[in-house]
Amino acid sequence: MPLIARLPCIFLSGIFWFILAGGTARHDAYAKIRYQLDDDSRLYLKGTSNVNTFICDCQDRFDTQVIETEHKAGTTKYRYAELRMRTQTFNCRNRKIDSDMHKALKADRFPFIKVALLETRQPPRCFEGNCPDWFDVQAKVAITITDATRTETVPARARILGPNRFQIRGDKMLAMTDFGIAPPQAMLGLIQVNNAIAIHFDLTIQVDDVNN
Amino acid sequence: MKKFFIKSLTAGAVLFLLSYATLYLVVLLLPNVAEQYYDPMFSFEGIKGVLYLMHPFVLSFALAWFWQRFKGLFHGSFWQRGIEMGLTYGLIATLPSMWILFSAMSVSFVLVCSWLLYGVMQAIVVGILFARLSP
Repeated sequence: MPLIARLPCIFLSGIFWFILAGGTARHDAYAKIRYQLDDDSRLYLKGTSNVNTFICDCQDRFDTQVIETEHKAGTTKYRYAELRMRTQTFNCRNRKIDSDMHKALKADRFPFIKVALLETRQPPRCFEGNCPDWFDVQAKVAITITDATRTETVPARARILGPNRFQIRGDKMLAMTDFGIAPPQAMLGLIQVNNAIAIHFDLTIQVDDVNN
Repeated sequence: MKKFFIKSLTAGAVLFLLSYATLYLVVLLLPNVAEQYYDPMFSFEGIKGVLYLMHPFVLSFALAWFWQRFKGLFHGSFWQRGIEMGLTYGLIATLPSMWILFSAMSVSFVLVCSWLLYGVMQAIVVGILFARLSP
């Protein structure tokens, strides 16, 4: 689960970069962008079982990364925009849930969840920095959990906070079984974690032209 | 001896079904209590799960010996005798162990109370069964 949660972070970061790239990227050619997630960014998974609701916070901190983007008519494509999140760093505030999640995600064999940002779509005028309020962004990402990779569309809302700073938030429902993950159980199977899990993210991103 | 084993195994089977049914009802009706079992303190994996499933039979054999030894002390209809034996067991065995458990371990009062009630209920059911099968 933690892995799943971190994927959105990566995707969102890519989205921000795109937005930022509006002022710096060369059209019809890949441009290099450097981005960094602010520490107050939050990414978490919200799951349910037949007895409770739980939240697992993504506690990974990501270094500044450089990706390549290409913008065409409201669509931005990305290269090398892959985030690797350590499964073991996901915190559900319950050691039993943490342990079951790590086991379900086969963390010993697959220590990372990978999220590759492939493409984002946003209103062209917002790409140019002309949207003072929240606007819609759709990101296409390839999520790899254990050894299963799926391409997902993640809907989000974004806004420009200032020069080279963006905020993006949203959520996406995923099914654990789509990634070959068996939802954890406890108490001889009487307590069962539900298959659907929501990824919530609220990220503040700082982007810069890599040449600066 | 054969009767003792048959009686104990019968009571164990009844307690086994009761045990699972009770757990199911707790999850269904008292999710806040059931949630407390989703904690590292509770482990039902591997041999622990097998041991947990065996506990009704451990209890039924122990209570079969208790009933054989002290059944002459309980009087009235088989209902009365069974309930009295269950309450006696609850007072002597379950209450003190729950008391020490609550005082020494990080478990909620509600959870300990549910175990106390469950323990007494188990003993009453076995008591009624034994009072009927082996008056």
